[in-house]
Amino acid sequence: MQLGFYVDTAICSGCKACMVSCKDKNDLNVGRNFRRVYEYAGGSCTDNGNGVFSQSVFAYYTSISCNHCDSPACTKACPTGAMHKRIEDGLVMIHEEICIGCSSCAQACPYDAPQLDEARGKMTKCDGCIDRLNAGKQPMCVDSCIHRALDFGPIDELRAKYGDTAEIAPLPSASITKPNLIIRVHPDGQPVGSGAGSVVNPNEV
Amino acid sequence: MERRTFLKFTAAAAAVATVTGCDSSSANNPLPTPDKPVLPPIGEGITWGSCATNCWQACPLKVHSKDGVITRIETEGKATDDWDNFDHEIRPCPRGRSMRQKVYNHDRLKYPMKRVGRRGSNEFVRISWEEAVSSVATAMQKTYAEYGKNAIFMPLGGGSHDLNTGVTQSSVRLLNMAGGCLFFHNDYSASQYREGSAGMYGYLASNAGDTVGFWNTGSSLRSLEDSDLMQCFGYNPMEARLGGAGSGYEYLNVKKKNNFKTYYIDPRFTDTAVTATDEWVPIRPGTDAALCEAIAYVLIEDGYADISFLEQYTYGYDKYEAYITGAADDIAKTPERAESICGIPAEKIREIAQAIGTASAPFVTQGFGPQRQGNGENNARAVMMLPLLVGKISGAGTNHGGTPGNDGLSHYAMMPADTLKDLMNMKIMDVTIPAASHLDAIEFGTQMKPSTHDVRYSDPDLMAADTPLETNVRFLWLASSNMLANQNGDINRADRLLNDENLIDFVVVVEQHMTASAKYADIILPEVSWLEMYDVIQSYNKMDCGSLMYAYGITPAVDPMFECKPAYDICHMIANQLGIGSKFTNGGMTYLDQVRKVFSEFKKSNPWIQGDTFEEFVSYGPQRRPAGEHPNVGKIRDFITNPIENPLGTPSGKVEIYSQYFESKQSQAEGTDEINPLPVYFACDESYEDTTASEFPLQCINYHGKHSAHSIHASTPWLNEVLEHHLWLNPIDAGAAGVINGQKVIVESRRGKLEITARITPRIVPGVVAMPQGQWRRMKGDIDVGGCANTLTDSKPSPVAKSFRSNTNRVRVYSA
Repeated sequence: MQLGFYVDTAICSGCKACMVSCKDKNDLNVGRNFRRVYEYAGGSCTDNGNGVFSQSVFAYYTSISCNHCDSPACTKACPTGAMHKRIEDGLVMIHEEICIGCSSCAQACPYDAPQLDEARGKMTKCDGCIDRLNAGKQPMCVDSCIHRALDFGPIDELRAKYGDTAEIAPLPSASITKPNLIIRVHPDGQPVGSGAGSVVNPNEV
Repeated sequence: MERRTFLKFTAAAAAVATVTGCDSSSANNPLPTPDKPVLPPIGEGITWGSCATNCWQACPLKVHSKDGVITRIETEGKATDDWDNFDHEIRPCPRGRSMRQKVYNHDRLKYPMKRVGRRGSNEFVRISWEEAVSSVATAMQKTYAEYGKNAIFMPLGGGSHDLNTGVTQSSVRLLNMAGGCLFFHNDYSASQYREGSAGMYGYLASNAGDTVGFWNTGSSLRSLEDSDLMQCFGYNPMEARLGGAGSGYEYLNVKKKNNFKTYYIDPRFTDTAVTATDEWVPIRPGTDAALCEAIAYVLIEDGYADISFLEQYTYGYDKYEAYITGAADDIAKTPERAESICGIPAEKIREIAQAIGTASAPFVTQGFGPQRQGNGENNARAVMMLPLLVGKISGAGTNHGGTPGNDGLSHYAMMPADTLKDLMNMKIMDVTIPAASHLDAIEFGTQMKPSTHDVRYSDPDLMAADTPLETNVRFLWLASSNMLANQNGDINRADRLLNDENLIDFVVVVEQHMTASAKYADIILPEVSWLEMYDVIQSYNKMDCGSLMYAYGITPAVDPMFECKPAYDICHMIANQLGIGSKFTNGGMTYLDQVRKVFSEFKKSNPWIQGDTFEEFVSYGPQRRPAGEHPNVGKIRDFITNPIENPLGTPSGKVEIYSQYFESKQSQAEGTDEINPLPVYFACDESYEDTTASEFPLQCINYHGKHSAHSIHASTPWLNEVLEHHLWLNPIDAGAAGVINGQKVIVESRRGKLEITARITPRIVPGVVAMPQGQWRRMKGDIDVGGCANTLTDSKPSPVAKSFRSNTNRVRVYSA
């Protein structure tokens, strides 16, 4: 079985409840975010020169954690084997006792999922809230989403329900790591690699 | 106009329950019934807490703790999550989710302290509780003796807004029993809307025992299921009301069910427009009335105006029509005239007008941004003209053009007084000033009169004689209020006044955190946090908080930290010093006794609530039911059905397009202000059209962002990280200022300068910058590096409501 996330960018308002509930649950210091919400905006709002506006603006939010990829870049980059993919549920996890905190995985991951705990010199990341899964609950981020834009579960079931789109700008192409991620594309969603917009909140993610 | 006050404690048991029947399907998990105080858990445990944050949502928090330490906040954990059937989970926004960091916070106040440096310098020393309460009592007695009760003022405060036995209620109880104080009417948030809408409709719901009814809110968002058009003027629930059962989630659901066309008329491409999607119509701040005049012009010229309706139900339409068509002043209020003012192309204005004209059930609504302007009363009224002109203010899918609402729980908080009679005759109620004018009352209170500054007396003789205040304000009591040197206009002025020893004798602050205003205290009294409290918590559905009504009890997750005490106990200690201890406790009632009494009043008014005791009530967790229709909606429907039998509360009994209330206020206009009985657009000072402000080329607005409904969460590190404090700047203006994304900039107005991170985004119109309000002022030299929006705003009041014009600012922006 392979677990994965569903993210509905069409109804995410960028409130960040997922980020904060994750930080609360995992005791994450400022600077470490297992989940990140990217604000992607583009188009323009201009004054036509006579004091009258015209606009072609679009924006949307994409909430991303670890996608527990089929072909994870992080495990390939890890020099010690600490970063590994579990057979039983496909979650990508860290053997902390052999992690040397070198950040190779963080540099390799195109989604920025591994987040270094500088105080302990250990890499950390989303573990799918394995303790909650074992207790029959959903991950904290899913349960905290005000708009019910997140879902989690066996990826086959999620794909049957939501389809198999796994990318949207500003995310990387799904061909790189084969993420276990399903994206519902916002009506103004742009294709991967699009130069139509930019991430306007780099300090928040 | 009838004198009204705005505080939920005026509430009352008089508001007898309007609900009948009982279907609390969600309260399906009652626990065994303890009849003892619910104490913080020993070992590992779960308690109910509240995010009482003054966004009006009052989300329940499931607080986990272990060995006396809070470990995390969880979601309610409901088995069902069904919005359609009013049975969805109430999920807190990031503010509630970060509550652990508000409790365990570097800015928590730990001990009583007294000031040793200049006011505002943050130089304090720790003192004993005995010394602290004795100092406060002595200063109160001295002020009463030398200046009388009206020298003491308690500003509006939001820190215990959603509580019922918190610091506001305890402080009012004490001040009332000690001899009274000067109090306030209206508020900082929505006074221009309230006075504007009341100028047209009167106060719709009776205010007897119903203090939120008179916000003149209208139809439920759920009624959008029957609408074919929505027009939002500054209405942005996914940022202002994002959490819990709030209207953001409600709007998302209703928009999914019935995909009506929506125009979001706003200077910002808001998160509501991003998420629910449809059409953003960018507008310049403060020009909503100009746009509405042009829409009215099209509605009248193209024959969409329902003349027979207007003749039957409104007062003064003839004057309005003459103004709009230009018959009165030779200036036709055409779309072509309006476009260069509001920035919306004339053809788009015609499209919007025709959309209203042809809709069978238009839902026109507004947030509080457009009214928070120097011409805000007229913006509010002008928006409300649109559905009125087409005769669609009542019936399925329509709204009267104001803020949405639902029916709400009856209020009950009897803590400030022991009986309803006492509550209605409190000594704090006999003289009030507008909430936003306390700096004026400090500087020149004795020049403030009913005719000029809207001073209100309960004694009609004092009103008739246009009596000035008997004294300036000299003693300030801050009950979890940051409305002294942060959340009020022109805080650099506040700093100057508070440091004038000739003006201010004493400032006492009862607070949880060292806020920017707390730094001005002479004595600081540390209060317990929300997760160390008992209380009865309720939803505020009458105020646009969604249509799910809920209530729950909270108990401490942990024992009081450091030397912090519940506000009731703090006020009790001061009462003892004043010799009124027994009166204060009504013969010995403890804090928990008061909470239980409030619950018992609440239960009488809302019999559907399960649990016979407070402890039992707590054990049920959040209980819920549909909120139903706001009584205002019924009142308008009755008026439409029979306007003679069911007149409105206006002088004419009709909807006053020509407002006689505004007419009576005309002598109060100052400078460039205009008080016109008609809802006309005018260019006030520091508006877009103010040519005297050309050295400040940009307009600056501030909004209630997702980080902080007000300033309550300013010191929460997680929130400051994931919802960065920033200034929205259009790429055109950023280019002109030579600013790049993410760099620090200075924003400067006539009042002061602040430093903030620039976010360059197309989501804001050119010529305008926007920042969330609510960060705490922190000075470095003459620059506020904390980035408090009110370093820029003015304390000058709006023309009619005498309220805060926080969105009317001209600024310049340059690299820091």
